[in-house]
Parts: sequence; structure tokens; C-alpha cells
Amino acid sequence: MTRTAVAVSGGVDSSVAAALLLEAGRDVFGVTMRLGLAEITGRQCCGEEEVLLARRVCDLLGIQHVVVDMAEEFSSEVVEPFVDAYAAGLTPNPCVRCNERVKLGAFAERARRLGADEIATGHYARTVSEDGTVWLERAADAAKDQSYFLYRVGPDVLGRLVFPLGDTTKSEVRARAHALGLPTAARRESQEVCFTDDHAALVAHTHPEALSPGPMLDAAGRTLGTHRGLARYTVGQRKGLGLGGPEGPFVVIALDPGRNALVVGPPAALDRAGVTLSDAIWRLDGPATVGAQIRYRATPLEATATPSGPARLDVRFSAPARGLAPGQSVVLYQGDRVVGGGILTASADVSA
Amino acid sequence: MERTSYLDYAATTPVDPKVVEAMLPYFTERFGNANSLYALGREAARALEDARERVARSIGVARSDEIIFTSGGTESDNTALIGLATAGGRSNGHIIVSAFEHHAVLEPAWWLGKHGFEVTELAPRPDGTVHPDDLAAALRDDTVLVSVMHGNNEIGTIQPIAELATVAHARGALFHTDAAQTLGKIDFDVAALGVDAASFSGHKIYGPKGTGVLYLKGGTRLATYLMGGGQESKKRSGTQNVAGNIGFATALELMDAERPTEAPRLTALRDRLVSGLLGGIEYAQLNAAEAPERLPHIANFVIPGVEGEAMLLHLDASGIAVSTGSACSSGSLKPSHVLLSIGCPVEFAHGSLRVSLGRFTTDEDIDHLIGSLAPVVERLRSMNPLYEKTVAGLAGTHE
Repeated sequence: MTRTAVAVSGGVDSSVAAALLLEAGRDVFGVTMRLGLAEITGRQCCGEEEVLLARRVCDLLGIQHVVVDMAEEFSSEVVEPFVDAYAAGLTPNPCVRCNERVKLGAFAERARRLGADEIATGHYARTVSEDGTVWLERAADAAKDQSYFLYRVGPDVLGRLVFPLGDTTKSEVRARAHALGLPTAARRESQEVCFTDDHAALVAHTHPEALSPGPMLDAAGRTLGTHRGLARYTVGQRKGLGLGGPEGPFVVIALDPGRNALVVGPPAALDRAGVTLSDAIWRLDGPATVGAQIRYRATPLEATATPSGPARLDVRFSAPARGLAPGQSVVLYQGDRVVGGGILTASADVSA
Repeated sequence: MERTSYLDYAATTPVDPKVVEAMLPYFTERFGNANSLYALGREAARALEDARERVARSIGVARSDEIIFTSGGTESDNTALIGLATAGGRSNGHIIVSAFEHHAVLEPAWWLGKHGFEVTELAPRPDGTVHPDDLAAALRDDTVLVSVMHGNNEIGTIQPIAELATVAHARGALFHTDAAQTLGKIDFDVAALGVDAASFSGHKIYGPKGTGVLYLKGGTRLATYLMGGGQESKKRSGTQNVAGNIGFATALELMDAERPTEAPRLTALRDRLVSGLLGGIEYAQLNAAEAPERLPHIANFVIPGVEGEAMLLHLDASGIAVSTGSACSSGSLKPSHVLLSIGCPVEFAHGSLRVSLGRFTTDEDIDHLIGSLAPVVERLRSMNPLYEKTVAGLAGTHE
């Protein structure tokens, strides 16, 4: 019989995912990552509470539960690159990286060695198998769809992945959790970044220079003010600049760690006709018309994607795109299907 | 479900019905506080002191006030380590613990290390024993305390406690041993071993959980750990668990009575297990196979190419309870510090299986385990992409 490891986090979604698989008669056990969040955040309870909650959920469902220590992998694959990216003037997306390298990378491999033929998660996404190829697609609940965070998961792992919540809605999941009496039913939504709610403080530990004040410049190089440390800003940001007056409004156009300078300008200066993606994934042959999603929950923009080198993609938008922050992922869709994606480079933007 | 086989007696044991029977009156009609002056209290005090004398007799102690009742092995270990090291207000000095102690010893040792003391973790040799020469080399003039366990809870090797204690005493250090896994299983005689302090646990000997004993040699100074009403000769405050302590003493006497027949019976079962498992599972190895002396009831195997937890999950589905590492660390995939300490490579320390036998273990349980394990290992190895590489590495070193 196929054995399925469910990644239970202590939250509502993964708890209900496990319950749904059990109801479907699957042979299920629970696995939970211990991420060592206490050491990262300095808070004693953080993380351990979730592990205990996950165990309670598994006890309630009557399934086996194993905790896998992923602290080392999480630190080196997610937290350190996250901090380094901010110090380099980028806006990282740690959830994308965690799904690729840790949760559906090393952790999934450990689950496999625990005897799991498949791994299930509480993500809102779907997999579709077509002629022996497995594709990642958006969830039925468009408002909750998390395929954006999963685009880097490799096809071999996708083939062993199960998303029990792909066809449900969040309100259905909450109702199920309540009906099952799961202790997680009333818990609030987890935040986007699980290991910090103050990334600047985290960056300050290892890269104090990223928190040191410097000049705010306009495109012509004129100093308009002083910024509070580049790690506190992201491209497209409008608030907190302290700039106004007749020339405004101003937004962040670029971060320049070399000069410790924040480049600001009018919103129109953010417009891009095209971008280059690095570390790119492309599952089609040759150029194609796609919907390019430039951040989580953003509406996809019509674009043409063209492979331009190993793990590189050029993306040209049909109409100028605004608010592209280097370091963020651009995920490429055809309909609901993820066909590629990559990480926005800092330097290789194609200007409008 | 088919047959169930409990093979984790080193984690805990069922309470013997005779023990339950002896305890029951002290929950209800004889409920008195052993420190009260009236008849009900005196009756409880008499029963408590009787239990103390029975424990003293069992471990070869003449003075029953050297027996301190505690809440279990962990409390006994914590009290011994911290209480002996900091006795008389001492705030610095050197202590030695073996590297494969239970965490109930390691954690307080590490705590002392953060509070003024220097701590040496003495590595056992690959045969799973701490060698007296190694201890002699680690001892210093300022060594105040040495703690080496009597029998290791994961690999079952027995330590040469008498020699180690002699070596420690020659340099003026106190000697404590954690004997939670050995009490009742093999002879434990304080006079023969020459220790200053020893820790015992009730639930490892078919007694109730939450009971334990700290043996402390008369005249040894101890900083009090639990403060309050001054019970247990002012060494451990808190109203005594009369029923529990009676249970402990009764359980220990039952162990003593059955040992002449039970020890050889368990040894034979263990040998059947070892030969059956090594014969039935390719590349399986017995950990600390070269140990000069081992406990009758514990065997620990490394099964390359599989995770210990994975075996546990599958065996659980077949109704078999075994463990990987010790019960306290299970549920968390970390390699065993015990196996690492005897030189077991990290990738193998992940694939350990501890089987521990007890009063109700039969040949059928052993055969059930071996019969169930072979297909589980085969399946898990087939799912492990690194297995071929692991085996290739083994073939190089094998034979």
C-alpha cells in the first residue's frame, strides 16, 4: 500500500490535509520539521510550540508522528541567504527557497527515507499529470493559491507530491477543522515569513552596514535626504521616505549597496518593458506567451518569455510593468499551469 | 492486529500486580503524612522506613538513612551532580562525566559548566566501556566529582565501576553512578562498587513511574536541591510518596528474587535475538560487540541504509515496540550521542535499533521481530537513493 508522509506544521491547513487523506483511506503518517526558530529569533517558545501542536494533531488523528531536525538546512539554505540578500540590496523571498531546498527538498528526502512513497502538504495548489509529465497548477481557491511559492519544486518531487487542499476553499478547510475538533481550528493565519517579523534586526546581526544611514539620491545624483539603512527599503516602496513637496511623490527606484545609496524618483521611473530572470526554470521549448506574476497574489501580466542562456529567461511585457523588486521571483503561467519562473536580477533590467 | 510484542523494557516496564497490591492501601485508608505525629502519620512513617530498609538491604547498605527517596532517576541524577559539586557553597572545580551518560547527567553537568565549573566529557572506548586508565589521565587535583553510569541505557555495556571509583578516590574525587538500567538486572552492591552516590529509577524495575532513589554515602555533603519541610534527613524536601516508595521497595525485592533465573533466561533470549538479527539482515552489526560485559536485556544494532525512525514506524504497524536511541530522544531524528561517543559514524548512528527485553518476553517475540524486520529493511533500503553507496563503502571495510 502506498504510504504518505504528511508534513504537519501545527497549522489548520496541514491538519486538515492529513485528515482528508485519512478519510480517503490512505496509509498516512505525520512528519514535522524542527527549524530551530528559537535560536534564530531569540524567543524561547517559537517553533517548539508548533511541533507540540503538530504532535497533538497526529495523536488526535491516531497517526504516527516523527519530528525531523532541519535546523541546519533551514539556517544555511533559507535564513543565511535571506539575510545576505537584504545586505546585497535585494528583496528575497524565503518561502520560495524554503519550499525548494528544505520543505520539498531535504525534508521530503528524509520523509522518503522514513518509508514514504509520497509526501503531502497543506499547500493550496494542484498537480496534474499529463503523458507522464507532472505539472504544477493553481489551486481551485484562487484567493489562497500558493503555486507562486512552489514554482521551483522539481518535476521528480512534484511526481511524489500530494496537495489534498488543492480543490477545497479556505472556509471549507476551517469548517472541517472545526468539525473534526482539531486544536488548530481557531489559530490565526501564519505570517509570510515564519522566522522573523523584523528582518532588519536579523540583518543587523551579521551585516550592520546594511542598517547604516546613507544618502537618498535622485536619478541625477542629487542628494534629497538620508535613508535609515538599505535593508529597510524595497523597490517600489513609497512610505517612510520622508520626501514630499512639489516634485513628489517619490518612490524607491533602486538600492545601491556599493554607494550605500537609495535611489528615488517618480513612480513612472519604475516602469519596465522587460526583465531578465536568473536561476530560471523553463518547462517549455522556445519562446512562449505567458502570464507573468511578479509577486504573490499579483495579477499576472501578459508577456513573452524567451530562454536566453543556461537558467536565464528574458521576459518582455506587453505593457510596461511596475514594481519589480530585484530578488523577488517572477512566476510564469499558462492559464493555471506553472511553466517557468526565475529570480529578478538586480542589474540586467531592460528599461522602458 | 496480529501479535503485539513489547520489546522496549529499557524505556519502561509495566507495574507488577504484586507491587500495585502493596501500594493500594497507602492511597486510601493509610493515607497519612509520614511526618505527622498522630497514629495515621506514624503508620505511614513506619511503612516508609520499612521500604527504606528494604531498599538499603537490597543494595548492601547498612544505614538506611543513606537511602533518599526521589521522584525518579532524573531527579536523583540532577541532585547528585549539582548537589555534590556545589556542596558547602563550592562554586568552581573540575568534574568528569562520561560522554555517553543519560541526559539526566549530561544536562546538569553542562549547567555546572556554565556556572563556574570545568567539565570533561570522558569518551568511552569503542567497546562501549570507560577505561580506568582514561579516567586516571583525565583526573586533576581540583576534580571534585566523577559520574559514570553503571550500565549504558542504549547499548547495554556494563562499566567497571569498582575500578573507576577506586581511581577517582585516589585523586580525592567523589564518585557517582547512574544505575537506572542495572538495578535489579545485575547485582548492585554498594560495598563492592565503592561509590559515594548512585541513582535508581522505579519504573525500570516494574515499579511505578515517578519513583526513584538516590543512594548517598553517610557523611557526604550535599547541597539541597528541593527546599522546604526538611524531609529525607533534610536532603530532599517534600511530603514523601509513601505508596510509591513502598512500590519501589516491593518491585526491587521481586527483581532480586527472580534474578537467579531471570538473568540467564534474558541472556539466552538476547543471544537468540543477536544471532537471528545478524543472520537475517545483511550488513547489520551489533553495537559495542566487543564489550567485556553487557546487560542481559539490551541489544543495540546498526542497520546501514535505513533510518532508525523508519524502522520504528513500520514495526509499530506490525505491533512491535522497539526504540532507536533512547525513549527520551525518540520522535526527533538526531543521531544518538551514545553511538557517536563509541565511534559509530553519523550516517550509521541514524540507523540504530535498540531492543530491550523483560519479564514477559518470549522466543515468539524475538522471532516476530526478526520476521517483521527483514522485509521492512529491504523496502526501506530500496527507497534510499544512497543505499548502494553506503553498501559500497561497507564492502570496502567489511571482513
